[in-house]
Amino acid sequence: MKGSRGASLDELEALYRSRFEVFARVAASVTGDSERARDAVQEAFATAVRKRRSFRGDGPLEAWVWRIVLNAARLDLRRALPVAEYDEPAATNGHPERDAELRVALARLPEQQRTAVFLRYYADLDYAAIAEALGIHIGTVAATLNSAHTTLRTRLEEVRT
Amino acid sequence: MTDLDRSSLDRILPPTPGAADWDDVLLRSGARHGARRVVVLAAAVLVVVVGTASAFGGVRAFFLDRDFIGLAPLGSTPSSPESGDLEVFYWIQPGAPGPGRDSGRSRNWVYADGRLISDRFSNGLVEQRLTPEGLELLRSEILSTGEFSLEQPPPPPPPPCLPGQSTGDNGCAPPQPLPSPGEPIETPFGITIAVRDIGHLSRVDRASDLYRLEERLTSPGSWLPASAWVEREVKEYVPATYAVCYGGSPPDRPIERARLLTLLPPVAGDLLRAKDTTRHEGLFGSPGDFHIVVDHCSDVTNEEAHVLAQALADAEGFEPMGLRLGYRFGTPGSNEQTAAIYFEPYLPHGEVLCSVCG
Repeated sequence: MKGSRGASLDELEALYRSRFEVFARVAASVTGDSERARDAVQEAFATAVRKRRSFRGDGPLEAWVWRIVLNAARLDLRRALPVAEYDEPAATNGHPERDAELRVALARLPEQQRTAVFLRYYADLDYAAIAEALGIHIGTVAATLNSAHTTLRTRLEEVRT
Repeated sequence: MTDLDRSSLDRILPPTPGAADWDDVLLRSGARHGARRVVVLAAAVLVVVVGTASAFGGVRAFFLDRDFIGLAPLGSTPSSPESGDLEVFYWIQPGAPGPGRDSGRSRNWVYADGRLISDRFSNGLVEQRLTPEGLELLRSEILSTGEFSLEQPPPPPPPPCLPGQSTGDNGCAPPQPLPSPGEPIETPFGITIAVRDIGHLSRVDRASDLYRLEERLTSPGSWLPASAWVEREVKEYVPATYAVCYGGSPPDRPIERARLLTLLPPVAGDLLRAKDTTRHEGLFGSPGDFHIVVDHCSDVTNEEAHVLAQALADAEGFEPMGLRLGYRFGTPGSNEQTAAIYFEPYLPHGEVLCSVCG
C-alpha cells in the first residue's frame, strides 16, 4: 500500500468505459471465444479494482490493466478446451478474401506475437506499454513485432502466389 | 504488405459480446459499491449479530471503543506485515438449518503469510495465524469437496527453457503468473457458497459435504492440528489504515464535498480537508428503486481516526449508525436529506472492508 501511487476507482471505471470494446476484442484473440473474452475482461477489471492500491504508477494505468486482462484471458484459455484458432465470423465488409487470409495468418502466429500485433495496431499502445502488458523487455517488443511482420508477410505471399 | 492497419484488424476480430457492465465488475470485485448485495442481505443482519456475539464476546468488548465497532484502541500495534497476498477468500452464508448445524455468517480472508482474518459480521475483524501446513490443509479441505477448482500449474517446461518459463509455439515464453500460489481462488468459492442462499442449490448428494465444509471453515480451530497454527488464539485485527468516507444519503441528491466538510465539526473538517480524497459512486435502495450515492473517501491512521471519532462523538446532531462505525447528520435547508460519515478498515490486500455487506 505505502509507496504505491495506487489507482482510483474512478480512473479504472473511466478506462473500462472508454476501452471496453478494445480490451474485449483483443482478449478474444487470446481466448478464441468472444463470450469467454468478455468474462476474462470482467474478471480482470474486478482484479484491478481489488488490487488498485498496488498499482505503482511506473507506467500508464492502461498498460497495467492490459497485463491483468491478458493474464485472465490466458488463464481462461488454459482452463478451456484447446482452441486452435479464433474462428468466429468476421465482418463481411472491406476485403473479405484478404481479411480471411490475414485472419488465418494471424491465428497461426505464436500467441505473444499475435497479441503484440493487436496491442500495437488495434489497441494503439506504444512499445513501453506493450512491454508492460506482455511482461517483456521493451527491446523485445520490436523484435516480436518484426518477427510477426516477417511471418505474416511470408504466409500471405505464399497464399497469394 | 501485411495489411496491419486498425481497420483491417477491426474487421478480423470477433465482435464484442454484450455491452460494458461496470456494476458487474464491482460485484465481482467484492468492492463495497456492489450495494445490491447489501440490500439483499440486510434483513439477516440482526439475527447474525445475536447468533455470533457470544462466541466472540471477548473480542467484541475489545473493539467497542466509544460506541464504535471496529476502531482499534489508540496505541494498538497494526497487523504485520501491512500488505499481504490474498490466497483464499470464503464467504460463509449459512444455508437451510440442519441437524447440529449452528454456523454463523462470516467473511474470511486467508493470506500467503498465514494470516486468517475473519469478519464475523459486526463483531469486528479478528485474526489468527496459520503455518504453511495449516494453509495447505485449509486449501485441501476446500478443494476436497470437488465443488471448487484450482487451476493446476502447467507441466514443467522441457529443456532448454529456464525454470519458470513455458514452452510456446515460438520456443520459450516469459514466465506467466500462475493461479497457485500467486492468484487467489476466492471467486469460485465465494460464489458457490453464496448462491446456496439465493436459490442455486448444489446437488443434493453434495449437500452433506458442503455442510461439513461450512462447519469446518466456520471453526477451523476445532479440526486443524496444533501444527497448523502459529497463533490459534483469536485476537483483534488492527489495520494500519482506515478509510473515512462521507457523503449524502438518499433520497435526495448527492452533496458536494466542500459543503459536507463545512457540516462536520471543525477539527474533523480541517483534518479531512487536508487529505487526498477519492470519489466513489454506489447504489443504494432496493431492486427497481436504486439511488446513486456519492461518497468521498480519505485514508487515515488509527490515531487520526480517533481524533475524528472524538470530534464527532462530542458534536451535537451526530447520530451513531447502528451496525457501522459512523454517524449520520442532518443537512441544514433540507427536511429529508441526511449525510453520513463512516470508518472502514483496510485489509492487507488493499480492499476496504464494507462492514455492513455480506
